[in-house]
Amino acid sequence: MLAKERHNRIYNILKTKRSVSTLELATLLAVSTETIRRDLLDLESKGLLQRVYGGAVLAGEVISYHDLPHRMEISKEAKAELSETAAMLVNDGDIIAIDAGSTAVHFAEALKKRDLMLTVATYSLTVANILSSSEKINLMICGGLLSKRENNFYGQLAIDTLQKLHVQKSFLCPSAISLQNGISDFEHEFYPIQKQLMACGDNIYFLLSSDKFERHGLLKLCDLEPGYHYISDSGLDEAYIKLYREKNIHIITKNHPDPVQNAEPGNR
Amino acid sequence: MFADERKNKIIAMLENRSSITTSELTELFQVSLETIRRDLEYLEGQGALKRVHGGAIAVGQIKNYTTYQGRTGEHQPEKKHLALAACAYIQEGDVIALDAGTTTIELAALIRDRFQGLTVLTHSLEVVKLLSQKESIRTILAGGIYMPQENCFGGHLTLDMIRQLHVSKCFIAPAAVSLDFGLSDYMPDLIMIQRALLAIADHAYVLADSSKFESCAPMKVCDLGPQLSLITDAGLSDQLLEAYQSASIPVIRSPR
Repeated sequence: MLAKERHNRIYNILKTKRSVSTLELATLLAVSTETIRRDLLDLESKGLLQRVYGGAVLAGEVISYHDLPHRMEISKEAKAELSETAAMLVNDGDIIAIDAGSTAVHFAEALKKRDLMLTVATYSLTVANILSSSEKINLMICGGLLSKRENNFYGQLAIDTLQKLHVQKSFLCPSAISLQNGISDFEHEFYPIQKQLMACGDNIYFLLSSDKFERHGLLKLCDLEPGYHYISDSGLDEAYIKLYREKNIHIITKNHPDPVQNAEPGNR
Repeated sequence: MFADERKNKIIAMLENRSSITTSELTELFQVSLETIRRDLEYLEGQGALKRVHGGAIAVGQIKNYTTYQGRTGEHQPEKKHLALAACAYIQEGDVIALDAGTTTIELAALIRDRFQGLTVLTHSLEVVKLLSQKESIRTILAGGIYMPQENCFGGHLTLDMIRQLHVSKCFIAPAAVSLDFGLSDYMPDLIMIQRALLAIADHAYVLADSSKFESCAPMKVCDLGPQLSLITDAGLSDQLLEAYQSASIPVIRSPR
């Protein structure tokens, strides 16, 4: 098999499996691990993958837009699990802001189950509907123009209102995360709102299901800062967790609790 | 029957109805027109009623606050009729504002069914939910702090947003309407919003089912005047209608 053919096969395997070990590839393609290592170096220089200890992960892939009902069906269990993990980081009496989207819906439900006294600001009508029946939650919706497609509010009116608020914790649910391209999304309508949610929070929490890793969307929200909190589900490959930890980014999952969880809210 | 007894009975009648006629009083008490006129004069002097051509109307009686839940069941057919009447004043392409409340919900539902392209500003969560079912209607929510007891938003953030906008027509539904006290309601937050909606609109329409007439709530929204058009159902008595017209207040009474 020619090198080029092998490169294609490696890339296709990665596209399906998202991460793979050198040993696995060597076995599958019936070549030595040394050969695989050279292949991986080659492919990395082309930006198609990222080498990690023991193997490789898929490099930033541009995602395409799917509507809300579609996204509600993707990775349901993963989103529900990471939402439970994230909900544990919220304390009684907290003042928080919540993003919109399918993960945010799971997060709102997880929060409701915790039965905490909270003040919650959001621009998502779906999240608001979930929390409005909870007596212990002071709810605030920024209002503005209603996007029927996403069931959110947007536009200058929404941004103006959000600029008047300040919260202890902002929980964002963007579409993609990658070491190279940071946090990104692709809905230009909500991008300024997400930026505003980041600006008005003392502490920033990103809720990202494992399928969003090493992908990028059209609009970059921010670079990955060690000061932000990143929460994902147990389906996230250990390879990614190690890769990110090398860059000082700690990803919190059910199995990897927040290293500073016992710190006072607002200190980080 | 003694004069006092008769006067008490007249007051009691006006507690349940917003207007009475002199002819029905002469019939009921079997006394002369002159006697009834003297009774009514006396009672008006006491502030218990207001004399109008052909009879008398109740003077703003404070009625108790009813919760949103409670009001949802009340006077449904009347609210639907007056919502229908209000529709006649809306055109395709209009930019309108709707406040919150059980009457305005009826109007929102009709708008969703009958109009293709409107822009609607509201501070009611229920109205937003109803209108979000219609793709072609642009919905703007004046968000803010959620008030669960009225299922709407209020506070300074809501006011700030409303004040940045302008609409051609607003439709508000205060708790009570009366000639002497004007429009009134119960909650300061909601009163501020009603005032803001009135201020940003070229034309103001007040939706009030007939049971709200000549009663009052603790806090005034504003006085009545020719710039406010009242829309009500067929239950409004001819007498009251005349009384309002004499005071130059436009009242649109939906046909039976």
